Amino acid sequence: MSLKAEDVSYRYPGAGGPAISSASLEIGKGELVVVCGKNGSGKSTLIRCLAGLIKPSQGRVSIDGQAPEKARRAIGFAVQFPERALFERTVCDEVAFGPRNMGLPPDEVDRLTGQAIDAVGISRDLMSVAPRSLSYGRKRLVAIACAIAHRPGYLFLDEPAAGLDYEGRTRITGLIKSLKAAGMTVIVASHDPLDLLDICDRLVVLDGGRVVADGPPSVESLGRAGITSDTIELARRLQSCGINVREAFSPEALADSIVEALK
Amino acid sequence: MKTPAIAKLAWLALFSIAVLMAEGHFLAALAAVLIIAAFMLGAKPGKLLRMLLPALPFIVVISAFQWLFAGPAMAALTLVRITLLYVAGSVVTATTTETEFIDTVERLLRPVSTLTRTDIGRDIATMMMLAIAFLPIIKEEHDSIRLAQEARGVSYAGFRGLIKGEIAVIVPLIYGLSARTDRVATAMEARCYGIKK
Ligand SMILES: Nc1ncnc2c1ncn2[C@@H]1O[C@H](COP(=O)(O)OP(=O)(O)O)[C@@H](O)[C@H]1O
Ligand SMILES: [Mg+2]
Repeated sequence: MSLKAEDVSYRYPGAGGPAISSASLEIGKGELVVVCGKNGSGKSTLIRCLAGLIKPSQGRVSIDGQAPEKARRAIGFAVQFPERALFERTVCDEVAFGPRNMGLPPDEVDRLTGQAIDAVGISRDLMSVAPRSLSYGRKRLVAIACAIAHRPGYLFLDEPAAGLDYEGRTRITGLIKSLKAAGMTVIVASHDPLDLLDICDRLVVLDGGRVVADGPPSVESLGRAGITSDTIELARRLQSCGINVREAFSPEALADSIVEALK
Repeated sequence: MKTPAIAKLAWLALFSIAVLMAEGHFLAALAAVLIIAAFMLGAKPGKLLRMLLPALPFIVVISAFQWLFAGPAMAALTLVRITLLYVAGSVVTATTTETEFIDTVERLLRPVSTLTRTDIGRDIATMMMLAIAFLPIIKEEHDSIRLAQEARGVSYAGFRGLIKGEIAVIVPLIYGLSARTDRVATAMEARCYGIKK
């Protein structure tokens, strides 16, 4: 059971060159994969192809051995700024939209809706309010609850932390961690992935529509996305002073490692 | 006590037919009915007036044409009829939330859905919700583009300025909206909308 892309290319109608060129990837069940790259490197296009939302101009995608159009239930996708696509009357109806579309019986719809709301950590008291009236960060969480309500095996998040403040970003990172812990396969497209590097299994780097790195996150692969890591830099300097710390991508993880080394 | 939206819609339909058929004293009686209905449904007079004011020039222009082509009596009749219809409609919209409207539409269409074995009732309700949710966004986007254009020196003064200015707004507006519809369509598709059950 996995998601496979073989030699996928995509060209937007009327565009000069391809947005994605011969990308091949295989994503296994339960993996947390971060796709990074500069603006316009093709992250959104690639994950839309992987999720079957757009059809590659060349190559093929299969989801658990099926064609993407046959596997729509297996896919959850939160577009960039997903809160701008909310339209229902209440949070409850909004989250229930997916399960209802699957034609499930009402009690099953209610159960899935409640679970999704709990999973993103929103109070159930908010179920009867209008999504429009929520704060920006909460809207984002509701939109993610919408994407997971029908219990997809593969969840795609396009720039899930874009536009959020520090607290909002921290909540999103925590949420991704807990979704992974619950067994969901999560694929995140992000131009600023530092928050996720300590918890992800793989970093896929795109440059000009090509996959230029695919593997455990490293300073080298990040460099190909034009990203430098201050925490790794600091860790290396500490190491050169004889303080034996682990290299970490998040300040929190580095802090823990320093405390441990100094004990 | 809250009057159900369906009762209000039924009342509006009957009232409109009566207004279109009545003349003379009967119209005065219907005006009285309207005032009582507005009071019973709890519509605020100030709000009704605010809803009527922008429509008034149009009503006057239509009546003026009637005067030219059909004489003063017909013009007066038209003026009274349109005003009554408009205010009656306002009374219903002012006292009914969007949610009640949509729920009612969905319920009214349920037999059609059952009969045709489709989700047409829910689909139409979904379309109405999309329209209601995105109208304010279109307005917001329009206003922010206009502000940006004004900051860059586009003038909206005078009739010609307004027309030219609005043209300067419309292109980026349509561009922005198509990106938004794309987002909404993708998000709905990813939530199994239109999936074959
Ligand atoms: N709807 C579209 N029509 C034409 N070109 C597009 C469209 N969306 C994206 N592109 C182009 O495709 C390339 C990749 O875009 P995208 O996948 O959005 O990159 P990223 O998500 O990494 O910022 C860019 O050069 C962009 O300009
Ligand atoms: Mg993008």
